[in-house]
Amino acid sequence: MLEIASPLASVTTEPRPGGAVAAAVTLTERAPRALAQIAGWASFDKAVWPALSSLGLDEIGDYRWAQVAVYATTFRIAPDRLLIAHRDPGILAEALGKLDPARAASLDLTHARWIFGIGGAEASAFLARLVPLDLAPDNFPVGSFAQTGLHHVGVLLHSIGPEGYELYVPVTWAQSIWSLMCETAEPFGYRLDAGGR
Amino acid sequence: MTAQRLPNGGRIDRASTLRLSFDGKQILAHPGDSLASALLAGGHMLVGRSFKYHRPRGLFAAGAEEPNALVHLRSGERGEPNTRATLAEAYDGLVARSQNAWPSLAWDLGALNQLLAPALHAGFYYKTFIGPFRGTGFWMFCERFIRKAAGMGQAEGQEDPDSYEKVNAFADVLIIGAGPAGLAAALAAGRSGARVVLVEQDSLLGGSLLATPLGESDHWLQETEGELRSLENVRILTRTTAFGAYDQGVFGLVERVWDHVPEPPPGQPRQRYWQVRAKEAVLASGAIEQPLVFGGNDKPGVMLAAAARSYLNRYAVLPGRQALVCTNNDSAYGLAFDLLRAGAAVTLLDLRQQVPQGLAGPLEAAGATVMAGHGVLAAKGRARVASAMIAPVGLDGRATGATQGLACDLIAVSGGWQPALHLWSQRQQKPVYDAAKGCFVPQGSVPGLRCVGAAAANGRLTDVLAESFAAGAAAALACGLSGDSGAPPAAPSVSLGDDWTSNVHPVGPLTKADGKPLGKAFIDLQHDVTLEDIDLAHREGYVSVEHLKRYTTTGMATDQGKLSNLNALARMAKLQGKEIGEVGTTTFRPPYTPLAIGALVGREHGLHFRPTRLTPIDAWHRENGAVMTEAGAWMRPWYYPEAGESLGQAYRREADHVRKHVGLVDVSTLGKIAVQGPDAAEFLNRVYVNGWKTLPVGRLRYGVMLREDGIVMDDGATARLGEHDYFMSTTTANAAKVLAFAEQLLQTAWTDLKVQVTSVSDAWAAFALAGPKARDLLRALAPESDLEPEALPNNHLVHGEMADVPVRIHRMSYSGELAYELYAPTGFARQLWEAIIAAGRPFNLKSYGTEAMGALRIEKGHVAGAELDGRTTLKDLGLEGFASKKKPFVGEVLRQRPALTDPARPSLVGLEIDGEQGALGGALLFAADGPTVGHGEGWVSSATYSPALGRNIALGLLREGQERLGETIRVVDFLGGTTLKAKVVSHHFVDPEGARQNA
Repeated sequence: MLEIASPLASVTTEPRPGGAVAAAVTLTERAPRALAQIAGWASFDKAVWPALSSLGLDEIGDYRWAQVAVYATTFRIAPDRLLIAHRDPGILAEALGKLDPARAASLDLTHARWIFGIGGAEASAFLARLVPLDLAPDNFPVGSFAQTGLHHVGVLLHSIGPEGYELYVPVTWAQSIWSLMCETAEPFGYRLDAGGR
Repeated sequence: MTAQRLPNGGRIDRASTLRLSFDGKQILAHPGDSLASALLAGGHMLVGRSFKYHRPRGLFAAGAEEPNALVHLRSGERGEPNTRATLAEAYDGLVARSQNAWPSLAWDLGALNQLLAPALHAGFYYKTFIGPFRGTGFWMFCERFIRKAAGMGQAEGQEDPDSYEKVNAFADVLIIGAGPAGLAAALAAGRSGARVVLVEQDSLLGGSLLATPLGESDHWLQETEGELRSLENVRILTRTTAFGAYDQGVFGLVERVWDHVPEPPPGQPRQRYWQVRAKEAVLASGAIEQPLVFGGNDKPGVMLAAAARSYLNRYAVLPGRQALVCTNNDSAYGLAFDLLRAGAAVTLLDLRQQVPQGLAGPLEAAGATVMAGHGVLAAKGRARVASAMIAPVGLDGRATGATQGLACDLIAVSGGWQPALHLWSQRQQKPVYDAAKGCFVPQGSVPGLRCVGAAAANGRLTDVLAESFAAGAAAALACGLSGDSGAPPAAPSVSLGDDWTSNVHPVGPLTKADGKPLGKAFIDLQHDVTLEDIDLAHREGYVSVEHLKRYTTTGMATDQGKLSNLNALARMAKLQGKEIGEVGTTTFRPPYTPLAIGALVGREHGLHFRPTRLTPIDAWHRENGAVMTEAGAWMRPWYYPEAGESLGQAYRREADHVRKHVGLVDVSTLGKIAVQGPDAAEFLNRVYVNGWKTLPVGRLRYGVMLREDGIVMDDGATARLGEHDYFMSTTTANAAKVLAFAEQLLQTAWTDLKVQVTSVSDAWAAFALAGPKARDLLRALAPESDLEPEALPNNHLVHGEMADVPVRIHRMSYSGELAYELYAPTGFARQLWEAIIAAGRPFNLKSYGTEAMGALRIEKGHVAGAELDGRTTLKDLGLEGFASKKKPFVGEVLRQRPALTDPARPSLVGLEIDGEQGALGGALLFAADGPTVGHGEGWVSSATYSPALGRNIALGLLREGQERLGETIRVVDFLGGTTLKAKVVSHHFVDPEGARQNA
């Protein structure tokens, strides 16, 4: 089976020890296993339902909260658009096949995004240097997401844990964003997690 | 005698000694000192030279308002000019040097300017160098010399080795200033549970309390700070200046993170730019003491009373042993008491006719001389104050009696106070003049911004604490936090005379009886603006404060009106016979104090000046020797030089190779848009000029779209992938514009269409395989796909697989050769590219870059960004035939405007250039025997050397071009100074019948 090549394959990224707090930020990178968009028109909520129920989701969600099922996470990125990340491309394709093409269209975006993981005790402080979002726990709790601009590039940030985030970045901008992230993380000290590439 | 360090006292750490350097001389200091206090302690009364006259200047203030002590801090690549010595914290190894003096600070040749002082009045440069001459040529010549003689420091030309960063922060309540008012407000808001950010530009909290004698205020400060630091919801930022207030509760701060050490620790930023979004803000920025205007008021040894008190009590530096204190309010009495306690002799001149007995009595009892209704008319001394001329003065500041000399080595002045309302004013507010308090005060409300303490011209400390505490609690409440704030902190006991608001008597300049100053009297020390300059501006008709400011330069640049505004406005008002309030103030703009540009830039410089976009083949291009070029945000392979080839040699070889063999180019940068939905064909029908409803699945079609005004916007091929699925390609440059255009139409004009458009530029890589051997190579790569001309003619597509990679093969040509565009998922793209390269060796496959690609398309006569330049119509470009007459489309109506249908409009032609030299894009076209005037008859849009024709060619837009085929014209490059001859030909230079691409 083909493996999706990393946009960072040619980049030398060496962890930096940082200042007083060593490796307070952890950076990882990975490809989405399967990522697709559903877009529709009138009665969008109903139109997507066959696919969502097939994925074990019981709500379409809103613009701040990701909906999570066993293998699927959905982000309502517009009134009539849904982004779905799934661990199994086959299951996702099968679910998307249940859509009525006259009411909703699906689009495979697996190759269009790259995912950066950001963790560690200073993850939020690190991100505050990159995105204009209030990441305080009561304002951006675990499970919430936001579409924002990072270095002028449109990205999606998802809070996946108390000290963990995932950043969905357009793949052609990924190397540039990664480079800036590494530089920004330097004052904290960062390491590349073994879970990365 | 000079200033000296006292044997005890102060808020400095005497346990350690720091060694600093100023103009090469060693200065000793202690932790807690500023560079200014260390200089003063070392007896360095002379710290700078003035802007215009190069007059000797000493420390005048102790904070951000310091006008004189601008020094060049550090050296070499970390050098920073125009830094206030008062804000520079002392550290071991600190190196500073004076500015604007040559050959030395003590012996400055520029001081000769003082001889020219009568001529160097306001407007001197305009009147002397510009007014008498036509144009600005003479001024431009003289400017280079004048700039050297006048000005401030010089920036280092080297790259700054340090890093800076930006941070986004969010707060319920932002409190600006951590003096007693700010601390009380922070305490209330913090106790309420609000997320508080407390900002203080000093390294210590306390504000004005730090200038009071050691004692109860320190205990109060310790307790208050301790409680604030114990609150997790309170973030305290010291060494941080709030420099700008913007709409929607946005504030700009700069934190000088590591400016107080020789160099930042590895990886740490020197400064940090905070962009704070606050629901509520409390402005507790204090007030700035104002100077008095009298002859020689700029001499070293003249300083603000509050500054003298700060040096004395905070840094334990006695600024003079024979002190003359001159004031128009109560606040300077505190200094007089403190000076006496430190052993100085004190004479206090109170400009008010009635002195406050509650202060004057004890002061006299302590040994000072208090003279009511007296003022200082002139400071005397060469390099520093040695004596003063004093006299009884009237309510207007004019002498009313005999002048007498008084020996002194310090003249401490207080001309009243002005609340620091810069940030408040930046929110489009104009303060109003309060005659009783002698200052401009905030009036009217700024949503979410409360002024407290001295910033609101509130006086007594007890009142300030209570009012500020209440403001902090109210700000928290406005954020929906109603937690118990408890009781306000009890006010510490401070020395007498802390209230400057209740008994102030503003006076004009202190002058002789005839109203003239006894010597040069300065309004703006930083810009050498004198009383006479203000008077001159008045005589010349400057009646607006804004014009006065610009004509005289008073209050400009780093001063931002801190010390100069009030006196200038008062003088202007008096000259115009108005009240001060009637003339108003100038406009305050960010920044409050100067900032390092680096702090604003953060990490967005060099490599990160802007984000860079890379194709999935980027690394391969570099690994294989490509010279890369920028194309918008993209990096693209420009050419692949072999054996030291130049650009010209390489692209000619590459283009020639494509025509003879086969070449591969990375076109992943093309814009790609998925158009989906039951009405997708109708949508395409509307946005493109040509028809789309009959395009079958598996086919693709070239399309052109117009702007609403009828001008060509973009072109590209769109493929029909399925019943409701289309794949639109756009030019690289217009990808985002076309997507936004489509989104706007769908969301506003065509809400009836069931269509969604989504960028898939990142999802798909694209390569163009072009040349006579292209099909043969593809056959080898995709044996399962039927690529025969009958099965896959032009404008058809087929799905296939190459090297295990799913690929969509579009038969279409940009180069004019037999060509295919291969689309593959981005993550598999490099694998496919390398497989093509490997499979292509037997076919003599070569990769080619954008320069060769451009040469090929010019030879073929295809238009690109240079022709789709926002000025051209379908007809101009020879694309009129694409426009459908059977259906409406965007731009259809307005393209019929007379201006766009004028038959004389420039139209696309080919140009065969005579000679070895090629044309340049932008060169203008003129008739061979016509005049060379104006913008000519057209322009060159694209130019190249054509390997296929063996000559230089170009595309151009020429007036009535299609009627002039065969004519010889001139191609004039005004920038390069060249004129070429060219023959006008069809823009289809190569294979106009299309035999090659249709093979």
